[in-house]
Amino acid sequence: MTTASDFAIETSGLTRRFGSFVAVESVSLKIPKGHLYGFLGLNGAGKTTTIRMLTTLLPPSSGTARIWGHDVVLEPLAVRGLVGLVSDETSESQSTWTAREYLSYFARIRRIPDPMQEVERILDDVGLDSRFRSKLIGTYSTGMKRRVEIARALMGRPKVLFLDEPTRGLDLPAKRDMWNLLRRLATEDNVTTFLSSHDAQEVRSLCSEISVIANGRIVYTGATYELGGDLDDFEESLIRLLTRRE
Amino acid sequence: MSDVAILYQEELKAIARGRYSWLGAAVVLLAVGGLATVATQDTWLDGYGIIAYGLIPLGFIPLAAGAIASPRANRFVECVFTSPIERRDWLFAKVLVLVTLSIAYYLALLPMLAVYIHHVGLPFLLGRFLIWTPGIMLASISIGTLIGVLFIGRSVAAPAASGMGVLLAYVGFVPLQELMVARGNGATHSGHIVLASPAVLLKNALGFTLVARDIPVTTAYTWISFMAVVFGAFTLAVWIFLCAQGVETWEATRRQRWTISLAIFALILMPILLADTNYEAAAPSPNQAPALHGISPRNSGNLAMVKSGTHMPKRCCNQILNRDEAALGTDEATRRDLLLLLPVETTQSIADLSVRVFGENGLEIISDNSLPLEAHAYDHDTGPAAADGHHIVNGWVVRVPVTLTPTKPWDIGGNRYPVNVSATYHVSADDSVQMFSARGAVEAGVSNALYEMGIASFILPLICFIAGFGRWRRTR
Repeated sequence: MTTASDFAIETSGLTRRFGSFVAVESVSLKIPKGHLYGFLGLNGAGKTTTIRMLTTLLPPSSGTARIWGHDVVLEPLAVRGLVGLVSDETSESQSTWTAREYLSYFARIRRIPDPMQEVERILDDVGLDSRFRSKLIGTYSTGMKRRVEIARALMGRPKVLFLDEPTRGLDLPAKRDMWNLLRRLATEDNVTTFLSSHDAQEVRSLCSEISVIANGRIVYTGATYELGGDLDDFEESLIRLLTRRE
Repeated sequence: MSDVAILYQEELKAIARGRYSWLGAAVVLLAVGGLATVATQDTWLDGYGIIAYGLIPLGFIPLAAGAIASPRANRFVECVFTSPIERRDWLFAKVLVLVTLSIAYYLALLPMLAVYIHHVGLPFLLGRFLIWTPGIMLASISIGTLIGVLFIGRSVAAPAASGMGVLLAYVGFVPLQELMVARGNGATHSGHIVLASPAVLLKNALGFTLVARDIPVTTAYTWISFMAVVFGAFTLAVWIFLCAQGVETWEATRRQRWTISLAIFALILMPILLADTNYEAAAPSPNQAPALHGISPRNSGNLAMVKSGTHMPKRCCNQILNRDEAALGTDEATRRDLLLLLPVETTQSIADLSVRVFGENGLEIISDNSLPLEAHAYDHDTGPAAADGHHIVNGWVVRVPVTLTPTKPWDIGGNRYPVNVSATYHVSADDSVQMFSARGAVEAGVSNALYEMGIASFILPLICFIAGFGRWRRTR
């Protein structure tokens, strides 16, 4: 089923229903490789559901989605080998592990040769101080935890990185560090980044192209600058899109 | 190395990283070992065996439910299943980890088992426990896995509590079934319901009881029911996980939902309706303990046992002759005085006294020939009854110095050896020979077993404490 594709992410009519509730309706996206792509929407708009379908965590009710040409339903293992996901609070779940233990778990299940060396390399990349690497994750600050999550998502050198509210709860310096890291991944490692957020400033600062989702439907896809020249204009346009009545 | 093997290794390591993993293991093992040590002074298989070999293995139900549900409750599965991992491999690895934990628990019982077998061999009941326990753990893991799979939510409380509820029902059904069978009600409607517990099913299938005297004549349907519950629950859990659920969501069709409901009902009802209840065969004896005919700890008699040269106790005389003092050591000689409370007033004289003392079931007794007579004043009609029915007020007591050597113990504590005493004598000028006979028992235990059991039971908890402390030091 492998298909060559120019797009890192390609969806067509992607829909997810929970009973009678339609969480995501007919989402069609084409995201080129190596882009830092923004996905904006209010809470409950369908951002997380879309990401969960694209990362094989949730089967679509209808429609198709491909990551680097691999169908998320028919080739889930191939897709999983290509993606990394940072959701909002997962490392909290392993708060009794150290960062090294946490990352070595994923290095080993991804069959990475010399896993401990890779763990140290990635922790260097995300900037986690070596003094803390053998301490329990539960004792880390929010920023450190987020770095560990990014490190986990980067394990295995993914081609597509999905970030679901990656800077939620971070203070300004930590947020800036995170943005710099994401820019570096996109420019130096050519990682396609799918950044889901409701933070307009973040998306505008990082992404040249965006999609806006409201009530499960895509209401805008295009260049970021087209929504406004400065942050105020951008936010005004965004609010109009997000609150627009059908 | 296969994906399952890697996942198994990593999940096994993950177990040791839990906040209270080592401490929890240490506490459980310390409790089990402490119980084993305390029970050494008593009937070990009753006091310790039922809990260690029966109750705790059922604890794998909530443990398995929690272990399967927890990664979905805390969203760890999101990280796992965005890695190139098959869900079936992960589930299989998780179940293998649970099986490993159950084997570890089984092995942790070995030091205490070794002490016991070294002293008294392998009695029938312990032999059956050794098969019962892995069977219960297998059933518990299957049922716990099914419970864990059924709950998808952000809290592990619901599956763990459901597992505990099932555990309590299964545990409660064991004594209830024993009680019902003992009263001849094993085949009633209630008698059928208790067969829902795999512990009861397997107990019947293996043909042993804890206190009841009857076992089912046939076991074929009991075995079928047990296997159906174990493999049915596991198969259903795997099918639900792989075919009716996503990573964190129910994806079941209407037809699948009905299938799941009916399958669960079938798993509950099958043993209730099918398993054998013809309790008409005599249960085998749990060990080599002799039947203590005519002896009960509630009865009193005309025989007492005291330390050499000491007075008769105020409270006299329980049929378990050393009930109020330490048990005798087995395979070692202990000197005591047996006191025969003759139904003869001190106003009458006794002549031609002859006493014969002998033990049963391995109790060797050597009695002295000197048989000094002592006068004893009884309070409040507590004296032995004379031939005319009146209670002796001031009576003769014969002191028989004896050396007791209990041998061939069948348990490390609580061995009760029957003691028989018979005597003949003449009273005053009466030519007729008077007969005296009494029956009691002495309690004995293996002398050093308490210390050996204490040491054996402390080794593994100590290792767990050290491991837990080491991890705390490394990660703080």
